[in-house]
Amino acid sequence: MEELTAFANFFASAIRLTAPIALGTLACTISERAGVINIGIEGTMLFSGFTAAVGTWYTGSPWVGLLCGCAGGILMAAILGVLAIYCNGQQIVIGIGINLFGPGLAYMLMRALWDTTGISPWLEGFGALEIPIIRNIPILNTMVSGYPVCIYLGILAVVVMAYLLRKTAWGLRVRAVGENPHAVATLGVNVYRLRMFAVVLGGFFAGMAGAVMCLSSANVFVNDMSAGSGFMAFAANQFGHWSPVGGYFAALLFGAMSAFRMRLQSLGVATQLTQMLPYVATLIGISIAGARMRPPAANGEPYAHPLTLPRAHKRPQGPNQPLRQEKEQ
Amino acid sequence: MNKSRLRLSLFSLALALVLFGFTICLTGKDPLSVYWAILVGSFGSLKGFLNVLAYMLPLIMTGLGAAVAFQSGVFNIGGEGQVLVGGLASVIVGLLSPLPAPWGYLVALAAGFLAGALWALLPTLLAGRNLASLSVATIMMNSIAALFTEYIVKQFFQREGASNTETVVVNEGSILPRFFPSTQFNYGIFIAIFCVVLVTWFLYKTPCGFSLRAMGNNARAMEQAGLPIYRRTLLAMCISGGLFALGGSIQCLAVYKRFVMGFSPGYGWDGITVATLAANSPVGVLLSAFLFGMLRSASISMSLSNAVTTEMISVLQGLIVILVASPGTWTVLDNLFYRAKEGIKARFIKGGKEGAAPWKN
Repeated sequence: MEELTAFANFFASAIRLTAPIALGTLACTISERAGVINIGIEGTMLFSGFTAAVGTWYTGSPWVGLLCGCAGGILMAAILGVLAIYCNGQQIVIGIGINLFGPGLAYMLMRALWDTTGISPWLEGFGALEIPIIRNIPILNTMVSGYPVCIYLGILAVVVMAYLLRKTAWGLRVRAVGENPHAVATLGVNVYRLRMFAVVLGGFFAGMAGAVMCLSSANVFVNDMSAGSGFMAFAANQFGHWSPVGGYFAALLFGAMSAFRMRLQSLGVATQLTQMLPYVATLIGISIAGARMRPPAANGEPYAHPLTLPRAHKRPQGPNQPLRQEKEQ
Repeated sequence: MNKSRLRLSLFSLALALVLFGFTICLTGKDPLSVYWAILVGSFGSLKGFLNVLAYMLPLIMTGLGAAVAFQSGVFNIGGEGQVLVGGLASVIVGLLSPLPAPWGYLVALAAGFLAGALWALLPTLLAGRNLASLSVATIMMNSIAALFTEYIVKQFFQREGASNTETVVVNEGSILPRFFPSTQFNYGIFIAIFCVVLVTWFLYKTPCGFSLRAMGNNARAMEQAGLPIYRRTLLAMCISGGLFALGGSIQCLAVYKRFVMGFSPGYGWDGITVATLAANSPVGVLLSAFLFGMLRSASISMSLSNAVTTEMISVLQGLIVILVASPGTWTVLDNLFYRAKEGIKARFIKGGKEGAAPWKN
């Protein structure tokens, strides 16, 4: 019985720690399924965590904070989307840039707003949701009920996105655009818009991840509080083979490592070694996933927008002249 | 660096500075006064200028490391961890080796290079040649390096009575000498210039360097041509990791003379920006390292740290990296501007429906 309770507590803390990583994984999955590598999840999460904190701080409501977090995530993803999809940028390098830009902007605004760079004021977090019948059953109540609302929302998002990607026409298009954008374009689908929507939707979930990180248990925004979960999310996406549900379980693995780390810490192993555990697990996860990885075929391949073609310098000037001579013939 | 890349870097830098100015406005400060403070801080006095040169040194090394990696098409963004490990390794060797002056620090620097190379080799062996997962693996090594160095110092080399995690001062022979005792500008400049020359020679004058650059341009084609891609990736990561690590070694041996936890305010990340802005050319690294040396010295020196904060630098870095990474932006802007101009002409100068959208004809 005692072991069961201990396991239930461990499971609950793993689920709590998984929530932001899982949402980040979902963000990665959607955007990579559409063929855009988003390595800037970490920076997006930190920035959206900050916007979530600001929203909550102004209004006192975590729901507004959640919305603000999503908006912050969408902003960062839109930067990546516009530059990578419409301007043919290098996706990985832009992602690195976002990892520098997002947190930097967050800390800069934090200093302006609260005159500190370390830690935000205390925020109103999400309340725990007690599920009516289950909360009376001894072990299940710690395992299934009593989490903050946003964690259930995260799991719901994973399920919904799995359904959308797998069972709807939109999902089929997104997956197809990640495999072969040229083929999709011949069928009359706007590749740019579709990719952009997928990236922004990913940004929405990354923003949600930031808000969850900030408002589910800590209830403050701390400098560098994501501590690499964005990168873990990226690795979890590969480990889960680019599927939302697989990604969730991969994220659960990393979350469980974080929970295990806290357990080890209480046993008196040196802090630095235990803190390494999630990172080492991620490394090992990458190397395992790397062996038999099959990413979407067009992952990271730009699909050139006509606007990125250089303008012909000798075009006939004047509005009433035909721009292309050959068309008249 | 060819002309179009130079123009791209300069335009991106200018646009990044403008956008950065808006961001400063957002926080309620005057951007012009911030820029002025940086300029005065770096060129106002000889001491300030020498400090800029001193801050430039680790940035040259990390910039070179990133340049080698990016030219080979390998995303080594684990520079921060390699800087830390390199610093620790050379300090440990400096503590243990009894060698006299020139050999002491040379051996210590070599140890730093070796440690950084090994630290970069490990994630490459684990992640293989998948670029995206390689970059994540190197980032994981960053976090691991921070914890690992802290653990090693705390466990074995902690100075008695120190409030923060640091080692004792290294042996006399292992200290990299300074030119003037009052500024931090040191003999590292010789090592930096030597490395710039060496890397330029390696990348542009040797077959191996050529194969690395070719791999960076089109890895698939080189694989078809029979180049052992994976082995070249390992080589590129080792060289780049070693160069990153030398940045940490110089900083530890010359400026602090010991290993202090958190001595690097992000030199690894700076290196990535420096190399990106320099279009990955080793000589361009010298120039853009000077620019970031100005920013770093402004953010660290006491009188300016209120005006220029560390997080501001990372915002500017992010903007520069984002803009340089998407050169298509300029073409797109050019096209959009052209369209707008033609549209306005059609609308207001001639009138008439058939000319309203000339680009659709």
